[in-house]
Amino acid sequence: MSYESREQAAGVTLEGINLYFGKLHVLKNISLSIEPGEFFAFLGPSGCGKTTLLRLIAGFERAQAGKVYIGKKDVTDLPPWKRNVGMVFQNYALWPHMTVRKNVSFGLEEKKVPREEIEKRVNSVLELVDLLELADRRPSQLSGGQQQRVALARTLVVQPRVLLLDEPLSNLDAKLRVQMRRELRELQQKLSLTTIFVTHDQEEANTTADRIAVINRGIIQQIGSPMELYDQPKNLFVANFLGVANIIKGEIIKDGNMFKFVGDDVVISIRGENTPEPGPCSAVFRPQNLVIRKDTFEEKPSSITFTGKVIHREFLGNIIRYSVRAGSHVLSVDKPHLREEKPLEIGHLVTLQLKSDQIVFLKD
Amino acid sequence: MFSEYKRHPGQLGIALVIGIFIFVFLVLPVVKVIFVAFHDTLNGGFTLVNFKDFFNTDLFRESFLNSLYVAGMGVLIASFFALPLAYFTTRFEFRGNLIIQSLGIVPLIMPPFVGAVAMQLLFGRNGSVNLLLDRWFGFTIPFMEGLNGVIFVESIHYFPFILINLSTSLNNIDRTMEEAAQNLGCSGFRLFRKIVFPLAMPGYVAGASLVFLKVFDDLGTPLLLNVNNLLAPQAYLRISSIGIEDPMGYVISVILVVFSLFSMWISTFALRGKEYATVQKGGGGLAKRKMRPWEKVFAYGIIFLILLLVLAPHIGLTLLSLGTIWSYSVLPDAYTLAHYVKIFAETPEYLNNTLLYSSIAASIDVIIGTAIAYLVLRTKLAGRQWLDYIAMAALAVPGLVLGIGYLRTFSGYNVPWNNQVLASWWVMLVVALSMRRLPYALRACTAGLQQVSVSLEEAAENLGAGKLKTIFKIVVPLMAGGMIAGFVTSFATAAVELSATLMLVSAESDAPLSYGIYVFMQSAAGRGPGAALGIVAVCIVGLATYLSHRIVERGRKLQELKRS
Repeated sequence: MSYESREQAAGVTLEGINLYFGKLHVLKNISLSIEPGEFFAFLGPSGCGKTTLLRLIAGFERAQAGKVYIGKKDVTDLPPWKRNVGMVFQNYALWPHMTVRKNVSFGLEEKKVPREEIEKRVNSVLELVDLLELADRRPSQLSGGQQQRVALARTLVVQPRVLLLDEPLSNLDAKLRVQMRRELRELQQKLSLTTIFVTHDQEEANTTADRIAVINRGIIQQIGSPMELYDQPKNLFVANFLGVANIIKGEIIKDGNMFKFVGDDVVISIRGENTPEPGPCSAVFRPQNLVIRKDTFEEKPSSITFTGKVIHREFLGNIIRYSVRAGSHVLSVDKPHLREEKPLEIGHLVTLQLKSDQIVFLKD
Repeated sequence: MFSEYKRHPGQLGIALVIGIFIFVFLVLPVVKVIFVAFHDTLNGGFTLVNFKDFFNTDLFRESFLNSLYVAGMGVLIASFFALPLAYFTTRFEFRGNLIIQSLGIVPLIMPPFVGAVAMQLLFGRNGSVNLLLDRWFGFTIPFMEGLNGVIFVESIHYFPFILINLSTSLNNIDRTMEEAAQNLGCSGFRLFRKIVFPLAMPGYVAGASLVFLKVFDDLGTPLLLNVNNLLAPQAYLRISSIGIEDPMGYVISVILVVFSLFSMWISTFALRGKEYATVQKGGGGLAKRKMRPWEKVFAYGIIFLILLLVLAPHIGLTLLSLGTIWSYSVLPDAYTLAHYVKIFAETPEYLNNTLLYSSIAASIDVIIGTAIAYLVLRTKLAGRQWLDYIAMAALAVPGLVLGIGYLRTFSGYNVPWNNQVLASWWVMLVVALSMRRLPYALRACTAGLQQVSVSLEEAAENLGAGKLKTIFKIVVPLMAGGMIAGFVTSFATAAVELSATLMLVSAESDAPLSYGIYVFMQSAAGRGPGAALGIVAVCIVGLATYLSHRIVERGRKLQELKRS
């Protein structure tokens, strides 16, 4: 049997979710809508509530306020065993007293699927995750990656309407993690299955998800595609959480018809349509947007320059990351590394140039 | 660098002394018992004829089957008490945890023989419960008839072993195991049957095999309930009436040891499989939920009933110790303190002997336990692990068997200065008690030493303190908590040990509490004082257990402080 002929994938909608653990307000007024067939990630630091949100969709947590819809159906009051959402647990939660085959067939047995069909479907899903030969082993006899695939197969075989993944890659080593996230993405595309993925690793979210919700302290900070979040962060948290960011604190001032950003030793004239309101503000830009040189740049109206001194250097392979003290600011600068190119030394005086269209202004 | 440790003559000397002591007073008597069981007295070779005789005798065959039946039913009834309690406390947000934890020590503070006679007065044919049942409903329940009585009393006392082990197992199950099943559509009782119980099985089996072992070996309870067609009473009666030459006592001993070993093997085997039930990352314990009102009523009702049953021996014993005459009536006719006066005024030797014997035995245990713990954890002495194994093997030796072994091994010698037979000298009873309780002290001492970081000792040595000085100034003070806990546990359990005591006490002036209770309870007139002695024993042991609990708790808190 093929997995394409599944039930139509369903979207997930959350409306005004508020959840407390005792007095602790864990999820604050969360509303979002996940499209059918979408690969969606909840991204945030540990303790931000992302796992709680996932467990809420699975039915393991109960919100004090708000609604959960799967497809068009209100499942807010349904217990976990009636929701038909598949969850892959962080520790896989394979039952140690059952073989791989028993683990995988469990959900179908619960659904009273006829024996012959169970056998067919279990074989088919085990083939899909390439574990057919290991079907009679116990979970403890499998490697981490194999256990993860069993957990995935156990969930996929019941053809859930939504697939929930709770940090599924966090227990794997770095190499395997990269391989598995590619496989996950391919599988998801093949099955066109609505998938929600919880992770604290921005790289993992960026490489797999169509859209990401960045969550901090129980609040959704921003929802968007990985590139949107990186290029147009809505606040400092998002800017910082998705990669390294240089931040200069300052103020937006209206100067005639023009707007200007004024920080310590820095004045940036602002062009373009999306001019922020006057007031306290931060200028944010990425390390790779700065160009570093020992000699001076020719001044351009579209760029701003800093002069400073190298105070620290990290060799990261593909790039060298310099820390440069420029006035009261310490800026990170990435320079692509080329063979036999001599790096700048600590103490060197340097000039940095930044195109002003690479700067994002964020209200605090 | 370590070769110096290896060649340390002091360590080797201590290990040898302890090894010889344990060999003479634990291994040798047991080997002797096994040897006699298989020894052909006519031509001196190996024989199975004693076992053939045993199984050809109707009474012994019956006793053997009865013992199996009683132990099996004991496990069944104990499970019947333990399962609901374990389920409620692990599954629901429930205020019963303190109760459950306290229940865990019931079998330790009051062995079943102490309360057996009181249970007869409460649940016997003419006991309070049946009198009331007959008066109100016109029927009676044969709780205490024959084997029923033994099963009933033993399971009430020993079910906490199952409860504690099962609860621990249930609490260790990773919560996601349950959630994964719910996620796949499983819930309610099916969830319990297919996922939760199989995962908790190791704990249940460990507890159940312990109960089986305790019931199978018990001597005092059947003797006091006058049920003699069981293995342990038969061995006792043969040895005490026919003499130590009669081989049947030894055959029974071998059977008891074999079943002990078997149950202990099952128990460790079950717990070894436990690795899979332990908590993984992501929170442990079954998901708890609040009870609905009717569930609450139901749950607390069951808890209350079980508690009443568990406390029945204590209630009965208290009534008996304070009552004047209690016969064919629901409650005693009148109340008096005369029984307490009697035991303190007329027979203070029981109490004095108990305090003396138990403290000496517990001291021996702590000294040996500390020494073995140190040798095992801190030295590289070859074969040091074996000291631990052999000392722990005492767990598999029923008191009755050790008693018979002592009689057989040490009867041929006299104490030089008073010409008493060595086997019936009170010191031998003390040694037997210390061997029986050594495992408890050893585990406590080992735990205590494990909490002391080696670097603390190394710091002392680095500053010029020698090995011995380091042990007394650094190690002993730091592991004192473990040693005290070991002392108290050994003391408390030695104070109520009956089976070895029954075999080894020859004169009443040498007898401890448990023997006194046994003797008093034999006659109707002695029940009052016997019960009073029982209450005193429960108080001593209860107090000791409480103290040890406090010490262990304090140690744990200190440990946490040190880490933070």
